[in-house]
Amino acid sequence: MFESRNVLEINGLSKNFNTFSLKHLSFNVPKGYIMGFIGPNGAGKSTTIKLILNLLKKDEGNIKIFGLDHLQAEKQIKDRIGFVFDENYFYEELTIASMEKIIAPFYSRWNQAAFDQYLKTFGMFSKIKIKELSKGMKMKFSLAVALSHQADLLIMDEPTGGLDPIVRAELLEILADLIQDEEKSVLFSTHITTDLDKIADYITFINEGKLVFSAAKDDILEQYGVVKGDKNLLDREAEKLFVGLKTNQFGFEGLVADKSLARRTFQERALVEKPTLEDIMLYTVRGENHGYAHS
Amino acid sequence: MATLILKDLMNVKKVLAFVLIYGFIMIFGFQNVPDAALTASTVAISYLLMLQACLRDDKNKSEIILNSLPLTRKTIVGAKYLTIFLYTALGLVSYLFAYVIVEIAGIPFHVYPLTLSNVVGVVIAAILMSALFYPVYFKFGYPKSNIYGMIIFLAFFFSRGIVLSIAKRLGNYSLPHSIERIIQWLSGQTEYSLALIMLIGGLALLGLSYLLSLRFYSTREF
Repeated sequence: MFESRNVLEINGLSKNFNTFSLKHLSFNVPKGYIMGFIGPNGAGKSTTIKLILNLLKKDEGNIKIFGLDHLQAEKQIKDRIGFVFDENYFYEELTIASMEKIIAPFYSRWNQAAFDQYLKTFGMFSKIKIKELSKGMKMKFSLAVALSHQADLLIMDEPTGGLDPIVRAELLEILADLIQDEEKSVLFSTHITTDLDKIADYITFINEGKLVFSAAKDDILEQYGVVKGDKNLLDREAEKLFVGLKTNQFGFEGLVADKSLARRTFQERALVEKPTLEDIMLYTVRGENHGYAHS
Repeated sequence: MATLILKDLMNVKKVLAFVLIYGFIMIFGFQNVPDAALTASTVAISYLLMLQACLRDDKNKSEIILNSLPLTRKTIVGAKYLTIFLYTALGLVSYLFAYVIVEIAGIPFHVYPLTLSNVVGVVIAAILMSALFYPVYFKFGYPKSNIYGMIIFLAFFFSRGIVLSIAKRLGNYSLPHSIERIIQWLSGQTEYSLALIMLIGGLALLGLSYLLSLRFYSTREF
């Protein structure tokens, strides 16, 4: 079976609701890497994941996973994908053991030994009811299930929301270990960009249903810059450089999409720094709200 | 599909203990109309288990998990329809259990014996109740189908009385010739033939219901 070097390919994906539209979204997740999927609340991240899962029906576009159409080979594809959601969707009244009895038979590559090991590592007992688990433990259980059928692609929809820093760090360590073999891939959807600063290889950023960019994280952080300087440096021409800008009585701080150009423009008169993903998301979203264009 | 049925059974296990004694409750409650206890018992238990399983699915938003597993929506719908037979069987077992205990222990309750036509009749009632409920459930989900389900249940719970009342009224009217001929033909059939005809008819309706549910669920969004 031919497989593309991209484990997930999304082309021209569109979905219309009454108050929101996902518009011609296109991006790929390369095999063996972690793709961070970022955007503010309501940007369309969960909608995109639901479209991948076929929980929502797309209006336009196509989705290929492992080189296969996501609808025509749905069962085959889902056998190789693990999902971790933002909420617990397992039956609260059932025990871990009962849930495992329900889920395991559906997967052709279920690894019982791996599942038992994950439970042991995460400190969970199979006789405990799902409702008795804390939020962090529910996420870990979700992860144990996702990892125990040797999934080639892990799709995670806001898995770290509401978790303490320790649990979040544990999750990120697990993901970093997971992709060591360069065979597994991860699509990590979140609005907590600090998690992705540490582990993501690629970033896809969407806002208001549209793609802002999809590229290697290091390239993005090299390309964008945060510029700080005196207010008198800002003229009409200089303002055009900015994706988003904020000013106060002391000066300005803004995000530019071309750091090199900003350096040439402002030279030594302004400070040009490496941004974080959070800076990029914040300024882009606020910048669009205040009428700034972005490249 | 067996795993999905197991899933529903696990979700209703707390109710199963109640199912065992429900037959007694119906025999006691329908002492004035003992032949209605079988219908009431089977239909009520089928309804109870069916709704409880649907409630659990809804409460846990299980469509998210189920649709992330490598299985088709056809399988999900098919499993729900297969549970109809399981729940109906549990309803019959509940009544039979109570019947046997009452007879053996000599408890002074009027109990109606199980005959082929009675059993087939209540199985048809339970099947039809589910056949009417599930398309609405798969189209709209549990919260919106709940009240509708209750109305369907009450209609079938009291179906014996309703059917007899309608038959009595119809007896005062002259029916179209074709219907009269059908009724005459049915009256001339043996108990086994009649049971078979009713069963085939019920299963055919169930099949139509399944196709409708499948159509609704295949296009539903979550």
